[in-house]
Amino acid sequence: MVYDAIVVGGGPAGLAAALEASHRGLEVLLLEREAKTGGILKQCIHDGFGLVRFREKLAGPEYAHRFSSELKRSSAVVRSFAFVSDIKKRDGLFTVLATDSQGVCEFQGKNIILATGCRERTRNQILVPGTRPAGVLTAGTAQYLVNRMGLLPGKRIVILGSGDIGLIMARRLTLEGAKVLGVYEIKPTPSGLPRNISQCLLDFNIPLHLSCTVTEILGRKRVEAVKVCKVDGSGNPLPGTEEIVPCDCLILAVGLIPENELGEKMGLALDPKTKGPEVDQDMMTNVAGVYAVGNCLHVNDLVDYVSESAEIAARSLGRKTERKLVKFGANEKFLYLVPQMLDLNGEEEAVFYFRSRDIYENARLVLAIDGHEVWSRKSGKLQPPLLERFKLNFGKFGLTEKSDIQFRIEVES
Amino acid sequence: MKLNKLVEKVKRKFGVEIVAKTTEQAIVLEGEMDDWEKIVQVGYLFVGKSGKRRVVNNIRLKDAPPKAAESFERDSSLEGKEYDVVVIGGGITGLAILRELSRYPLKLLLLEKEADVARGASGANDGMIHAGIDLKKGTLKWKYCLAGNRLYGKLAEELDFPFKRCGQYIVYGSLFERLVGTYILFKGRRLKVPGVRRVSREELLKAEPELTWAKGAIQIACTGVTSPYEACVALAENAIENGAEIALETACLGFTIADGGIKEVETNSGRIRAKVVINAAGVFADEVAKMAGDQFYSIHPRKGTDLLFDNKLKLLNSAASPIPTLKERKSRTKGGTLVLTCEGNILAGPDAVEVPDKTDTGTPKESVDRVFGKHSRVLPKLKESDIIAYFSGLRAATYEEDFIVEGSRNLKNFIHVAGIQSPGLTAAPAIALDVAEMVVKMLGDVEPKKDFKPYRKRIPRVKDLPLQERQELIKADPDFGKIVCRCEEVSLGEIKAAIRRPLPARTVDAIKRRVRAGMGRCQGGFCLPNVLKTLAEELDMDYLEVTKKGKGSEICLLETKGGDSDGV
Amino acid sequence: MTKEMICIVCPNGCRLLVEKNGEEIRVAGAKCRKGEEFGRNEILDPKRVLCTTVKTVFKEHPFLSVKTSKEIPKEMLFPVLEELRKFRLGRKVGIGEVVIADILGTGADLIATEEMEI
Repeated sequence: MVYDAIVVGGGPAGLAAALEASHRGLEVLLLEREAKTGGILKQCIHDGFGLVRFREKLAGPEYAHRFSSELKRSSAVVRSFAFVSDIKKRDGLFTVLATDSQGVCEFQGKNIILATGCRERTRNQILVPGTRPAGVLTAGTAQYLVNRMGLLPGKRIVILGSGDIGLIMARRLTLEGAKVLGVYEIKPTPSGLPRNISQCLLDFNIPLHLSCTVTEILGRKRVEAVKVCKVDGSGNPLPGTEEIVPCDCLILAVGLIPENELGEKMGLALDPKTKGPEVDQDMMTNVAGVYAVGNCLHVNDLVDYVSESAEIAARSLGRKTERKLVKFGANEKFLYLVPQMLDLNGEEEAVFYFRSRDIYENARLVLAIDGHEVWSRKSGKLQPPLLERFKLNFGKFGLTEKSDIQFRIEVES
Repeated sequence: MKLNKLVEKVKRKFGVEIVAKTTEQAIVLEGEMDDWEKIVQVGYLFVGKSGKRRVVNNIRLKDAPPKAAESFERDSSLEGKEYDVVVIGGGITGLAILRELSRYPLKLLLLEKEADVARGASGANDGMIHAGIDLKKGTLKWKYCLAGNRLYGKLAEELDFPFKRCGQYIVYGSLFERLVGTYILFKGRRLKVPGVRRVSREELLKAEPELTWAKGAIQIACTGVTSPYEACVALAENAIENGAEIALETACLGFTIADGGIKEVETNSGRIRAKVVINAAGVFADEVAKMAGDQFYSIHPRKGTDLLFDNKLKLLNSAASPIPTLKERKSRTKGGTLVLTCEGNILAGPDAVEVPDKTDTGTPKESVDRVFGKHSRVLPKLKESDIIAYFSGLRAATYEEDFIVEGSRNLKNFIHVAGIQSPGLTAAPAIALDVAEMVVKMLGDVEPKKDFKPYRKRIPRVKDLPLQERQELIKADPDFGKIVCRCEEVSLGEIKAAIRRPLPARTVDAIKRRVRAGMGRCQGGFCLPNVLKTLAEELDMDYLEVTKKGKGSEICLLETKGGDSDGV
Repeated sequence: MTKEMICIVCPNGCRLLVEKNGEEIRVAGAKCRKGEEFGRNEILDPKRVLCTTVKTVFKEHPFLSVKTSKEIPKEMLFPVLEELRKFRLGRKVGIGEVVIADILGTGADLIATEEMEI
C-alpha cells in the first residue's frame, strides 16, 4: 500500500496534518512513538489552548482530543509505539522504516510530513558546573512526573528560566504542594507571556529574579543548594553577587530545540535561526515531498498555529507541481521568519510566522520587492516571547525567480 | 636527601613547619598548611626524584570543611559468612581481579560501597586503552600498561564489550613539533611500544580528513578505545556467572587483625571472614590500608574533566592529540586527547587538577573551558554548543605516582592494588593476572576450574541489529520493539533486560550506563519517567524508592496525592 | 484603592490599572470588554479556573486531568486541592463530564479534560 502521506509524530501537528489529509480523501498513515497520540499536550493539563481556533480556553488533552477523536473515525491509519528510524527516497517514493512491538515495518508514501516536535535544552548544554546529583530536571520531565505520575521531584524548588514552561511549572508545583523558592532569568526581561507572570508567579508570591542565573549545582547524592549570581548585559556573572540558595531540586526551563535528526539524515537544509528545516509557504522543505510542521519547524507559542501549519501542509498534498523556489530576505530585527522561501507555483495566500529580535514598541512590517515597498502593516508592540502571524497574497506582485524579496521590521520613533 | 634537610627546605619554600617521622611503613608527614596544591608539592618533595620512597602525607588543609560522615544502611546479610577472597572496590581493577579469580574454585566476594560498579574513576574516564608512550621505563605503570594493552582485544571478544583498536595520531603542525615527534619515535622504541611510526601529511589526511592544519603525525597503532563502564559490567557479570558474589552498597568499615593477618572484614552488612583480602579501593585505598594499620601511601585525588560532543559530528575516526608542550611533558598527567568513543561521540579531555576532597566530582567551569580550549585547536570545527555532556573523575594518585601491586609486608593475607590511575583501565587485565597468581600462592594448591565459562553475551542492542535479527528479537519479545529512549533508540526490552541481568541494574544511572537510555541529546528528558516506571515495576519498588544512584538520590520525594497529609 | 495588574484572559496580557472608590470601579488599559470585566472582578473577588489532576483507582489511567467548570474564588484553590489530594476516582468519566459536582460548595463542577482509556 502506498500512502499519499506518512505523518511522523502524533502530537498536535501530526494529528492536524493527518486529519486534514483524510478529510481530503487521501490515504494517510500516522506513526506515533508513544503509546497514545497527543504529544506533549497529554501532560499539559493547564488551560489556555485553542483560544484562536476554538475561542475556548481548553486544557492540553482537551485540545488534542478534538483532533484525535475525529481521527479515530476517519480513514487515517494510526500506529502507536511506532518509532521511525529511517526514511529513504527512491524514484519519487519514500520508504519509512519503523520499529514497533510487532517488529520492523517498512511503509511507502508519496509524501512525508515531519511532525516530530522539539526537545528541551539540557543542563549540560548550558554548561552549569558542579555535581550531578538527583533533583536536576528539565521542566517538561518534571511536568510528566507531576501530571501523569503524581510525583513531586522536590519539596523546595528553584526554577531557572522564565519562559512559559518554567512559569507554568512554578504554578503547578506550588499547587501540588511544593515550595518554589524563586524563578531565575538570565535576561533582564522575562521570557514568558505577561499573563503567565501574573497567574503563575504573582498569584503565588513566587519571586522572579531577572538578570540572574545559576552558576553551580551543589550536593552529592541530591541537590542541596544552587549558587545564583547576578549577570551583566551579556550574561556574564558579576563577581561578588553570588548567593547560595538551599534547595532540593533545580528545574531547568532554558529553551526548546526542534527535533530534526530524521530530517538531517534526509539532507534537509536547516535554518540556523529556527533550528528547523527551511520551508516554502506550503511547509515543504528543500527535499520535494518532505514537509515539516509544528514545533520541529520552529518553536511555537500557540498550539493553534501548530495545527494551522500542519493543515497548510496537508492541503497542498498532491497539488504541488514542479517548484519554482525563491528565497526571502528578512532584516536583522527579525529573530526569524517562517517560511524562508516561496514556491511561485504553490499556494498564493501565504501564512507567515515570525519573532522579533527585541521588544519594539511601534513596529511596522514592510515587504519590498526589487527595492520597492509593495506592502506594509502596522504591528504595534512586538516582543520575542510572542510569535506573530500574518497572511499575504503573493499573486498580485508578479514575482519571478529573479525577484529580490525583502521583509523588514521597521520601528517608528 | 635526609629528612631534616627536607623539613628545612619546606620551611624555606612554604614558610611552614611540618613534622616528618620515619616509621616501619613509611615516612609520615604531619602538620597543617593553608593551600592544598602546596601540601601535594610537599608530598612529592619527600618522595624524591627516584619515586621509590614510601610517603604517607597527613598534612591537614587548614580550614577544610569537616568531612561529611558517610552513612550506610545497616543489615546483617553478610554476618558470619566466610570467603576465600574478599575484594574491596568495584572499579575496573577489583572487577578484573574478581573475574580472574573466578577461574578458580574459590568463594569470592567483592564489596562496593556505591549502588553500582564503576562509580569511581572507572566510570568517569576517556576509555583509552593506552600504548604507554609517555610512561617511564621500569615502572609498574609501564609494565602493566603494555601487557594490558595486548590483552584487550581478547578480553573484549570474550566478554562482548565494545573495543576498537583505533590507533592514535600525535599530530604536529610545525618543524619544532616535528622534531619532538622524532623524539617520540625514539621513546617508542626504548619503551618497546609496538607500532610507532611517522606518517606523512598525505597519509594522515586519508585517515583523518579534518586535520587540515597538520604537517604530519606520529601514529601509534596499538592504542585503543573501549567503553569503560561496559567493560566493568561485563567483568562483573562474568565473574558472577562463574560463582563470584558482588555486594553493592556495602562498605569496608574496618578489620579484625590476628596472627599477623586479617581475620575478618567489618562491613555495614556484618562481619565477614576472609582468607585473603585485596584492597582495590581506588581513591579510598589509603584509608582502607590505614584501617588495617598498614598504610604506606597516601592518595591525593587528581580531578580530570571530559567533554562529550554530539554524535552527529563526524570529524574524527580514531584518536588525535597535539604534540605535548614542554610544560605538559614535565607534568604528571598526560595532556589528554580527542577520541571517537565506541558509541560514536567525540570525547575531549581530561585535564588535571589536584583537589583535597575525595568526593568532589563536580565539574568546574574552568575545566570545561580549559579542555575545550586545548582540543578545539586540533579540530577547529568543534563548537562549545556541540557539547552534550561533561563529567569529572578523580584519579587515585599516590605521591610515588606509580602503581602499587604488592602483598603487605606486615599482614600475610593482604594485597594492595592501589594508586591505579591512568593507565589503570589499560593495565587492569594484566594486574589481575599477577594478583590472581599472588592469591593462588597464598592459598596454596589451587587448580583452575574445568567448567569456567569465559564467554559473556551483552544485552542485544536493537539499534545495531540487522533488520532480520531485529525482527526475530521483537517477535520473541515485543518489548524489544517498544522504543523508550528516542535519542539512542533504546527499547523497553533492553531496559528490562538490564534489570534482569546477573548484576541487576537497580538505579536510573545503572540503566543509563548499561543500555544508554538517557545518554543522548536530550539526556533523559523524555525517557526518565519510563525508566523510573520500569524499575519500580520490575523490582517491585514504590516510585518514591527509585533512585538516580543509590539511597539518598531518589528521583521523586513526594506523591502529589499521598494518602496521608505529608506536605511540605 | 488602586491596583496594577496584568489581564490573564488572552495572550496579549494588557497592563490594567484598576481604581476602586467605594462602589465605583474604573478599569484603564484594557483592549477589550473581557479585560475590563476581568479588572473589575479581580479587584472585588478574584477568581481562577483550577486545572489539576485527580488520582484514580485504574492502573491504566492513574491520573485524570480535570478543571473547574468555571472560576472559583482564589482563596478556595488550596482547600479544593487539599480535598482532591484524598479523592480517588473509582468510575469511568468521559471527557467533559462531571467528576465532582459543586466542589466544596463553590458552585463549580470538576470536569474531566481528557478521555479515560480503561
